[in-house]
Amino acid sequence: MRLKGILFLVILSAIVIILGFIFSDKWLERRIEAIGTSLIGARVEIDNLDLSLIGLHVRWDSLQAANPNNTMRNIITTGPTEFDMQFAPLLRKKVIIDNIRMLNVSSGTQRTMDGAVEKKRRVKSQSPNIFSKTIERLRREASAAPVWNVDALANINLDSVLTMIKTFSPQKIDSLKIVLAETYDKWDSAFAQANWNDDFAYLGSRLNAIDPSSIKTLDGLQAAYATLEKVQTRIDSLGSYVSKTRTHLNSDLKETTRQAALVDDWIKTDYDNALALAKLPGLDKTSIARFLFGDRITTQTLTILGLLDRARRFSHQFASDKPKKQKPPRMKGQTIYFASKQRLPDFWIKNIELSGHSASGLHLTGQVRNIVSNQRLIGQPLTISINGKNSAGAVSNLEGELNHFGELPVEGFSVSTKNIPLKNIKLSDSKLLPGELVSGKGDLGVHFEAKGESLNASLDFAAAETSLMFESESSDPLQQTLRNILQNTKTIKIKTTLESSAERTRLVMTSNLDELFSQEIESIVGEQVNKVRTAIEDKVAREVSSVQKDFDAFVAAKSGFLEAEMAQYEEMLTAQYELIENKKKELEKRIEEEKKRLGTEVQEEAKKRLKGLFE
Amino acid sequence: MVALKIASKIIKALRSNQAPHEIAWGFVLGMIIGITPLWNLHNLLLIVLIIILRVNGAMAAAGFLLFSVFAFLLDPLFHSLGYWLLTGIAGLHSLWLFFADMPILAWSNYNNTLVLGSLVVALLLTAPMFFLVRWGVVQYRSGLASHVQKFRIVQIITGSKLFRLYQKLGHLGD
Repeated sequence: MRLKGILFLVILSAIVIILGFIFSDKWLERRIEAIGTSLIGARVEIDNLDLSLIGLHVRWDSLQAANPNNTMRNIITTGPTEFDMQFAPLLRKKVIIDNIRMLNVSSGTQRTMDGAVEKKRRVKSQSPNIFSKTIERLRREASAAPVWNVDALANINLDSVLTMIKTFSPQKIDSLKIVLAETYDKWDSAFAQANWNDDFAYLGSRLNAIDPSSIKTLDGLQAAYATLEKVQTRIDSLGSYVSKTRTHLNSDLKETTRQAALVDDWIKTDYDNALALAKLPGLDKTSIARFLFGDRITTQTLTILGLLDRARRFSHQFASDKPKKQKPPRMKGQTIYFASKQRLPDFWIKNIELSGHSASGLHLTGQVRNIVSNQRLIGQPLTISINGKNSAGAVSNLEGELNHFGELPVEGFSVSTKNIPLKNIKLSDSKLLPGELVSGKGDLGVHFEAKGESLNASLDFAAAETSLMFESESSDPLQQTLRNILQNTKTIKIKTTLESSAERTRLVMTSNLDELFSQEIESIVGEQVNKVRTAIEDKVAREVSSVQKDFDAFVAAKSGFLEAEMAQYEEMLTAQYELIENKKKELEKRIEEEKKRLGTEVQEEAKKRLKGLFE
Repeated sequence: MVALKIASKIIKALRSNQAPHEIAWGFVLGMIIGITPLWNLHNLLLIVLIIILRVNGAMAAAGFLLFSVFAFLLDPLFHSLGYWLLTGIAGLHSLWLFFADMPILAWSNYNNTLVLGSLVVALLLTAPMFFLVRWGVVQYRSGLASHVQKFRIVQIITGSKLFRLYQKLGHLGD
C-alpha cells in the first residue's frame, strides 16, 4: 500500500465532495435538461435549480420545454416546482419521487430563443409505429397542400410546370408488357409442344375406324367395344391434361389481368403528381375547412402524435428483457433493462400536482400520476386529469391515460371545454386569415384513442358570437373575400376526424363555412384553376394514352388468342367424347341385337331337334 | 510528450528493482480500464487500486492506451458477447435481476452490452496477460535488456533531444 496514494485519494475525495456541494445544483440542472431535451426532442431549460442534499429536496424557479413542431413556442412552462427524491432507491439507480408540486403551469407561450435541437441519428432497429406512420403521412399531405393565392395562381408558369411533369407510367407499362409477354410466350410454346392436334387427329381416326354397322359378328362387336374403351382411356388422359392446362391458364390470365389493372393506378398517380406540381387547390367544398384551419389543427396533431410516439418508444425499450439486438454507435453499447414485478422501476414520479393558467385565461388545476419507466412493474397507467375554470363560467376538462402494460399499448384522452373566451385567439395559421378574434366564446370537444396500430380521433369546435378584426384591407381578392365572409359570420363550427391504421391515414375537416367559401372561391379562381388543370391533364394524357392503348390492345389480343386456342382444344375434346358416346350406344345396341338374334336361332334349332325327338 | 514520459517511466521501471508482479499488475489494471468504457464504476475502483497499491503507474497508462485502441476496433465483438450474456443465457437471468437490485452495483452499467462484453474479455485476459508481462519483465532484466537497447526504435527514443531533456527535467520532480 502506498501511504502517499491513500493521502492523495483522501484529499481528492474531499475536493470532489466540496465541488459536489458547490456544483451539484448546476450538474443536476444540466442532467434534467439533457434528459428532458432527449425525451421531448426540443430544448428543455430550467432556471435556478437548487438541490438540497439533506432530504434530497429539489426545487427550481421555472422550466420551459419547447414544442418540437414549433420551436419558437413552449409546449409547457412551469413556475416554482419542488419535490423530494427517495434516498434508498437512488443507491440502486432508481429515481423515485412521491410528489411534485408545480405552480404557474401554462402551455403555448412564446419563446425568446429558438428551442430546436440537433436531431440525433435514430437507431436503425426502431420500427415505425402508428404514430410515426401517421406523422409521416400527415406531413406528406401538408407539403402537397395547394396554393390559395390568386396572384400565385394567375402567375403560374404553365409552360414551366408542363416541362417539369414527368410521367412514369409509360416506362412501367413497357416493363409490365415485357413481363406479360414472357407469360404469353410461355403459353404459346406450351401449346406448340403439347401437339394436341395430332393426338386428337389420331384418336379421332381410331374412333372413326370403328364402324358398328359393318361388323357382322358378336365377337367383332365386342372387340370393337374393347377398342373403344381403350381409346376412351386415352381421351380421358388427354382430357385430364387439357383440364389441368385450363386451370393453369386461367390462373395465369387472372394474374395478368390483375397486373394489367395496375396500369390504371399508375396513370392516376401520374395525373395526381402532375397536378401536385402545380399545387392547384381543389375547388370542392371538402378541402375548404382544411385550407382555412388545417395548418393549425395539423400542427397540434403532429405535436401530440410526436409526444405519444416518443412515449410509446420509451416504454417499448422496457417492454422486454430480451430486446431485439441493435447496432448502436461505437463505444455506446445497448442497454438491456431487467425488471421483475417485485422491484421498483428505474424511474417513477408517482404524482404531480399542478396549477396554472391556460392561454385563454382559465385557472387550471390537476394531477398527473405514474410517470414511470416501466408500467408493467407497477401495473398502473399514466393518468392525467386537469380542470380549468374562470369566473365567467368557462370550464375545461382534460382526462388522459397512457396504458403501456397491457397486451396492446393504448393511449387516449378527451378534452371538453365550454364557453372559453376567444378574445385574442387566432383561429387559423393561414396567411389568408392573419387576424385575431375580437370577441366570441367557444366550445371544444376532442376525443382521441390509439390502440395498437389503429388510431381514431375527433375534434368538434363551435365558436359563437365571433367577431374578427383585420388590421388592413388585403390586395388579394381571395383573401379579402374570405375576410368579408368571416367578418359577417357569427358562428363557426369545425369538425375534424382522423382515422389511421397501418395501411392508411384519413384526415377529414369540415366547417359550416365550406359551402359559402367554395362558391366564392369558385367564382374567383375557378376558371384559372380549371384552365391549368386541363392543360396538365392534356399533357399527361398525350404521354400516356397511346402507350395505354397499345398495352390494352396487346393484352386483349394475346389473352384472346390463348383463350381461343384453349377453347378449340376443349371443343375437340367435347366432340370426341360425343363421338365415343354415340359409338358406344351403337355398339351396345348392336351387341344386344346380336345376342338376341343368336338366342332366337339357338331356340329355333333346339325346337327343331326336340320336335324330331318326340315325334 | 505524454507518450515520451510514459515510455521513459516504463524503461525506468524495467531497469529498477520494482518487483515484476507490480509492473505486471500495473499493466493488467490499465488494460482492463482501456478495454472497458472509461466512465464506469469498476474503472473508478481500478484507478483507486492503481493509486493505493504498489503497482507501476506508467505500465498502467501503457496498458490503458494500448488496449483502448483494441477496444475501439473490437467494439462490435464486445457488443455481441455482452448481448449474448445478457439475453442469450437463461441461467444468468436471475443473476442480472439480482444485480439490478443491488445498491451501488446497479450503478455499474453491467446491463450495457458493451460494458459487460468488454469487462468479461478483460477479466479473461487478466491472468494470461499478468503472467506474460511478468515473464517479459524477468526476461528483460535477465539479459534481454541489452538486446532491446540495440533496437532501432529504442535508440531513436532514448537518443532524442526531447527524451534527454525529459530525463534531465524529470529528476527535478523526484
